Order: sequence, then C-alpha cells, then structure tokens
Amino acid sequence: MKHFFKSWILLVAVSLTIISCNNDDDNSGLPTPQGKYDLGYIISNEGDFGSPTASVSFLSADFAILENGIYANANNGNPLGDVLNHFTTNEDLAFLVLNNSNKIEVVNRFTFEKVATISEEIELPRFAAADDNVLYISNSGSQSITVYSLTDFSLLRKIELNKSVEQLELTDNYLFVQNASFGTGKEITPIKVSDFSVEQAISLPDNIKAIEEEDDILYVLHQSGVSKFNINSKQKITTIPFADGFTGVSKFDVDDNFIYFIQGSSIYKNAANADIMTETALIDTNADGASWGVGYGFAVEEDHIFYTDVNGFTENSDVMIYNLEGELIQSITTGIGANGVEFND
Amino acid sequence: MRQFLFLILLFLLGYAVQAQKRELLDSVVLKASNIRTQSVGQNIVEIKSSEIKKYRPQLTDVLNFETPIFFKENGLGMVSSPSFRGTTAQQTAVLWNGINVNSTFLGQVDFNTLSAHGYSDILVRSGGGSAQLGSGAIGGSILLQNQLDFEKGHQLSLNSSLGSFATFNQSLDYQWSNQKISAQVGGNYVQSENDYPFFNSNAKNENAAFDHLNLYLNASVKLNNFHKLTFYSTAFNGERHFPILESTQIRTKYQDENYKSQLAWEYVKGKWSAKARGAYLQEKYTYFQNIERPNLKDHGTAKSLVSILQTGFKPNKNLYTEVRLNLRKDWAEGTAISAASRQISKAHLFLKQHLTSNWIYQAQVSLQHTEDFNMPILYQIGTNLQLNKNHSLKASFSKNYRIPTFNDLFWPGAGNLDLKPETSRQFEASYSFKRKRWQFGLTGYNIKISDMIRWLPAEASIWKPLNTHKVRTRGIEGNAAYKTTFKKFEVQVKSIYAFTEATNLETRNTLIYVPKHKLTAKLDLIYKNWNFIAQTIYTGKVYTQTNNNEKTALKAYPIAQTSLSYTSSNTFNWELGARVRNLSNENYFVVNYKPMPGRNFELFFNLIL
Repeated sequence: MKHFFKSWILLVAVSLTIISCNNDDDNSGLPTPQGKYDLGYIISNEGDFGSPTASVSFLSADFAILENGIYANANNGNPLGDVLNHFTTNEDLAFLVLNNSNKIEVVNRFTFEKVATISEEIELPRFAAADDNVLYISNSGSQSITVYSLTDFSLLRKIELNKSVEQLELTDNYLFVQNASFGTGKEITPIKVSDFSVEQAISLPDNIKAIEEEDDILYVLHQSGVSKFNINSKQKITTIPFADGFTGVSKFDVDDNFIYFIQGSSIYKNAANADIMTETALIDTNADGASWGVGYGFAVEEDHIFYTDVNGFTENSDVMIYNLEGELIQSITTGIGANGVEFND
Repeated sequence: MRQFLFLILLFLLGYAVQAQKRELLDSVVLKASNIRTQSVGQNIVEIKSSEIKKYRPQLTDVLNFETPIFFKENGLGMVSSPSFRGTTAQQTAVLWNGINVNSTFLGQVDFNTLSAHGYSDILVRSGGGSAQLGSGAIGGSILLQNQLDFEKGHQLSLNSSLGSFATFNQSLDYQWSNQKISAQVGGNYVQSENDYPFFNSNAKNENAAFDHLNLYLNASVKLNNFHKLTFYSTAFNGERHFPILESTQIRTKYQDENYKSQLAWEYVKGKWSAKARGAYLQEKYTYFQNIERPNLKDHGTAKSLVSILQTGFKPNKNLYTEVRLNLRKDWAEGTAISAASRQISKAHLFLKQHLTSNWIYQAQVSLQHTEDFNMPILYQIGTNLQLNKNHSLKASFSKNYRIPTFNDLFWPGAGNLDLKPETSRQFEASYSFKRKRWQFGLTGYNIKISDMIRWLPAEASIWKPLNTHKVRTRGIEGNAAYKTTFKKFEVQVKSIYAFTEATNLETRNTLIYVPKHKLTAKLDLIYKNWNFIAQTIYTGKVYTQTNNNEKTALKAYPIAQTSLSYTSSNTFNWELGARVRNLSNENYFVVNYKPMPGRNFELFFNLIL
C-alpha cells in the first residue's frame, strides 16, 4: 500500500511536470516556475522558542494555494529547527537563519531541498544577507559578522564588531550592519564588501528599530522618524519625523516610493519624499487585544501588504493580506510566529 | 466581608457550645496541632520514607506514581512543574516543615531540584488551603515533613543505586534519639549522564547531565515535660545541563543552591499550646547562557525570613481554637532584579469542633497585608461526617490565592506593579469507604480562578504579566486499595484515578498540559524475603497549544515499571534488587519535543544497621 502510494505520487509528479512543460511550450511568453515554490510568496514562521517548530509556508501568487511546512515536505519530513529568525535569497539559494538551532540552513530556493548546513563560528545568528558569491550572517552571541563562501560554504572571515549586530542590508559597495537590537542602539556600521574593512559607524539621534535599502537609499526607522542615507557616500539625505507624541512604530518597509509602517494594530502609508509622517492610518487590522503578538511580521511585496498576528505564539499565525489601498484581500493561517514574507521569482 | 462576619459568629458559637459542655473538661491530653489534624473536609495522601526510597531521588517521580498530580517534565531530570487538579505550577504550594518554600522569583517549585530524600514523610493534600498554607495552595499542597521521634535508639541506613545512562545515586542517613534528644542527619548525592538514545533516530539526549547533593540536619530537644525546641535545616546544590535537540545548538547549564533552616519552640500544657518559629530561606540560581563563555551568566538570589507565632486553646476535647501571626519578608537581587523586597503580615484564626462524636467541622480565616497590592480575605470551612463504621463524608469550601512573584512584579522592562493576586473559590465533597481490607474514596471538586497572571507579548519583543484569564477546573478523583495475605503472600493493590476538566472560561478551550485522565495502579507482593512491585501510570492526551490544536496534541501513553528485591535480616538488614523503568519501551512525550528515555535499568542495594 505504501509502495503503491509512493508510485502514485511519483506518477502524479511526473505528469504534472509533463503538463507544466507542455504549458510552457504553449505559452512561451510567461515565466516558467523553476520549482514547486517559485513564483509565489515565501512566509517564514519562526516557531516557538525552545522547540523545532520553525517552518516555511508557500502562498501562490494568486493566493489560491497555500502550503505550510514546505521545508519538511521537501526534506523527508525533517524539522527545520528552532526559531527561524530571518531568511534571504540570492540567485539560486535561500538562507534560513535558525537562531536557537544555532545554524544556517541553505536550500534551493525553488524546491526548498537542503543544500548545506552552516554552523562554523555561528553563535546565535540573527540576520543574513547574500550575493551570488558570499553570505553574511550577524551573530548576536559573538557580536560579529561571519562571512561564508557560497562555492563550498566555508568560513571566509569573522568580523568582530563588539557591539550588538542585527539587521543587514547589502549594497554593491557596503554591508550595512544595524547595531541596535530590541529597541536599543543608535548606530549602523558599514563594512566594505571589497576587503571586509569596517568603516566609521553612522550615528542616529535615537534608538534604531529597523533598516531597509531601496533604490540606492538606506532608510533607517528610529524612534523619532525615518532617516534616509546615500548608500555610497553614507551621508544623510533627510529625516522624515513622526509627529510630536507619535510613538510605538515597530516595523517598516519601503516600496515604490512609499514608506509603510506599523504601530500596534494600525498600518500607515506615507510618501517617501514627504516632510512629515502621517498620523492617519491606512488600515486598522482589528488584530484584537486578546492576542498581543500583532504585527509580528510586516512586509510589502508585489503590491500587497502582509501583516501577521502570531496569537501570542501559542497558536498558528494569521497572515492578513491587503492591497496598497488598504483593502483586505485574504487572510491565511500559516505556522507558529510568522515573521517575514518575500516574493520568490 | 460577610464571610468574615460569619466566621466570627462561628467562633462565638464555638465558645458558647464549649461553655455548655463543661462536664467534658477533665483530663485532656494535648498534642500540638498540625496539618494532619487541621485538614477537616479534605483528603491527605501520606507517603512514608520507606516508599519514597523506591523512586528516583527527585520529587517528580514519587509524586507522579503516588498521587493524581500531573508533572510537566521537560525531559528526564529537567524542569518539572506540577499541575494539581488542572491548575498551574504556581498553584501548588510546597511547605517544608510548615514553611512555604515556593520560589520568590517564580512562585513555583521545580520538582526536579527539590530532593525527595531526607523526609520522614510527604503529605499531599488536595484542594485549597491558602488561609492556612499561604500563596499557591489552590490545586493542592505538598508538605515535606521531618518527624523527630524519641526513644528510638540508633539507626544508620545506606541506599545505593546504579542505573542506565551512567546514573548513580547514593544516600546515607543516621538517626539517634533518647528520651530527651532526637537527631537526624543525612545526605544524598545523585549524578547522571542522562544521555539516553532517542527513538527513531541516531541522536541521543545531548548536554543533559545533572548532579545534585542534598544534605540535612534536624534535631529536637525536650527541655522538660512542656517545652520542646526543634531545629531543621537542609542544603541543596545542583547542576543541570539543559538538553539540546540539535548538535549545532548552544550548550547551557543551570545551577541551584538552596538553603533552608528553621528553629521552633513548642509549648504544650493543659489546655494551652504555643509555638514560635523562625525560618531563614535562601535560593540562588546561576544560568550559564553558553558553557563555552563561562562569564556569560545570569544569576539571582532570594532570601526570606519567616516568623510565626501561634497559640492554641483546647478548652475541652471537642473544641480547639488557634490564633496565628505570620510575618514574612523576602529580598531578591540578581542580574535581572536589583534589590527588591516585600513584606507580608498575616493573622490567622482557626477553629475546630466536634459537634457529635461522628461529626466535626473546622473553620478558618486569614487576613493579610502587604504594601504592594490588596490582599483578599481567605477562608476555609470543612466538615467530616462519619456515617458508620465503614462510610464517611467530607466537604470543604475555601477561598485561596497566589500572589504575584518577584519576576511578575520587578522583571526589568516587563514587571507589572499593578498586578493583584490570583484568587480562587472552590468546593469539594468526598465519600469514603473503609473495611478491614478494602478502602475506596471518591471526590468531586469545582475550582474557579480569577485574575490569572499570564505573561503575554505586549510589544514587539516584550512580554508582560497581566491579570487576565478566568479559569474553571473541575473533576473527580477516585482511589481504591486492597490488602490481603494469601498463604505466605502479602498482597497490596492500589489505584488512583483523576478526571480533570480545566477550561479557560473566555475561550472555552481546555488548558494546555492538563490531561483529562490520569490513572495509576500498583501491585506490591511480598513472599518470604522477596518483594515484587509492578506499577503503571496512564496519562491521557494533552493539548500543547491554547487553541486545542489536535495536530500538536500529545497522545496518551502508559508507562510501567517493575522491581524485584531480596531482603535479608540475619545479622544486619540488607536488601538487593533490580528495577526496570519504562518496561514496554514506550516512546512517549510529557512535553512536546522533549523526548523521554526508553526502557532502562537500575540495581539497588539498601542497608540498615
């Protein structure tokens, strides 16, 4: 029976491949999925701290198909690990940062089949950034950035910064390291990617919450506003302040000349070249008081806003999807602790 | 307040009844009142030291097999928290010789860092008892007791065992008493590599070793016919590595260092008795976040001073009253909490009266004060009715509480000074049947808990404790025992069953880690010098997510263990035996993702001189 089932699955898979090849022949203008998980949204669910419940969900571009637990599905049911804090991708690979497993899982980003596990000099990894040759990991345990070759996944360099290391933004010339975690820290350290030299830190007037690079500008969300920096000169361009008394903004994303940010259950949208940040919410997600883990994950991808409610980590997460006008398009249930969304193409 | 007035009325009534019964006043032999005699309306399970020694030296094992309590054990030997009648870990009070020893930081006791060794008996009383026993006595109370007997001479006993996963357990106890002095001294050391293999994989329990040393010294001196002075002390030092599931994970460990001491003066003369006690408690933990970076550690130390003054008056053999004053001060400091303190004062009135020779009731009320929050008035009323030689009934109604812990109040960036105590009202009724060989008991209870303190995420990465949930737990507890001798066999059969329904009243979901069913059964067979024991625990399904997700629920499992031993009592008394745990090699999980060991073995040797 088991064998029959396996052969049946194989048969279905083969026929699906044939069908998709046929379709490809028929509609040669459309992009071809390079694997089961291409051309859709990848959602990371960090899992419950202390248990191997991290997982990855896939949502098709038309929101019609949701598949939870794709890493396990693609790898003989093996669990991914403990606290998937962040993931990033390059041309072919996806890098899954497993904070409490103390490892990085490298997978094919279209099939999610495992390629390698990196653990050398990893110490409580937080975030990843990668180009086609090199992977950078921020490690809060050693307050360092570790750098790996993507040809053999070996350690190239350990850059000790001796201050907190968190989000990473990689540009052609610099790796920007956010030296602020859990709402404390006012600096960003640029590391030159050509020789891994550490340059003088960029200072902000108050605590940094998040950083984001878009169209050659480094956006920095901090307590009193969003500051913009030139990614090559590292000079400040401007600051868009929050209105007096407007506090508690926790996350932001920049997309198509708009800054989107969240405060509690509200989502705001603001022109990226405005003089002051709006106080009028675009969306009230109505994520209610009973569940306090609202807005745990927030991203704007492919003209859609993703907002997650992790239900206090005691249940699976709800992911709400809005269009850029703020209308709710869909709500889905993924894994425990949904914290990030990226479109895979 | 109404209940309080009612209780005062009861007291007055008590004195009135006493006045009428003056003829009963003659020679009343008086013993100091204690928890056994102050539990009218409730059930007590007593576990003697000879029984305790048949289990692992941590409290989890013995209580799991001998009581209806469910233990949420995070892997063998790791953090173990009780759920008594469906309540949380902080809702079980633990008393060491009458002093509440729940952690100042956590409000609960880790039943794997509390040694089961060194007590003459452990009493487990189900149901509310905060008026008497303080914070946490909601689901029930565990009383660790040292009884110091006189005129018993010398006794030296040695217990050793060697088991799977490089587990070694050694204890030595010495007791001595004459007419005036009684003393007990002893120690227990246990260590284990605890590296049991996991089922269905090549992995084993990595970084899971533990060891602990527990020492005690107790002594009692009869100053004369009326005065007695008793000193109790115990010290615990333990280290535990916390197991990892993946070899890449950072290795951590945790050290506990606890010390308790108490001096008690007792006076009993005629109708009057008095007791004054002073106790000093110290708990210290050190958590190493990464054993390769030994400087990276969190630590905390809490100290408590407790003084209790009580006086009892027994005007006749049918009436007993007691007034007790309790003053407790706790201090704590550490990496997270810098110099916090709290003082609680408490007045407690107790009354117990035989209405007829078969009918007895007790009533008590406690008034408390602290500056941090408003304290509720706590009370309990209980009654026992002996219907005839074989049948009896009990009932108890009480209001109980659990106060916020230091972590709840003072944790940096999260502690909430606006918290108030969790409170609970509960009712229980029991029926019991006793004959020469048979014993049977049935209890039903209903507990309502308000203002449950839960840590919930308040901002992106900050969790705060809040008084939110309302919970109801209700259930049925049954026990049965049978004892007989058959030819040269002595047979004893015992079983406990608990049905528990714990519901969050807002969501109507079942609380996580509360099994609906728990059944234990034990067969104890003695034939000449041989002793055979077979026992089992069946634990029902538990949910691990608050939405009662069936997919992540843990399935029900039975575990069984058995032992066979030979006792010789020629020149000296020794026993040699072997024990098999998890007999059926069951792959079970008490806590999700925390594997437990498969079948494992132990050899034991006991010697009494």
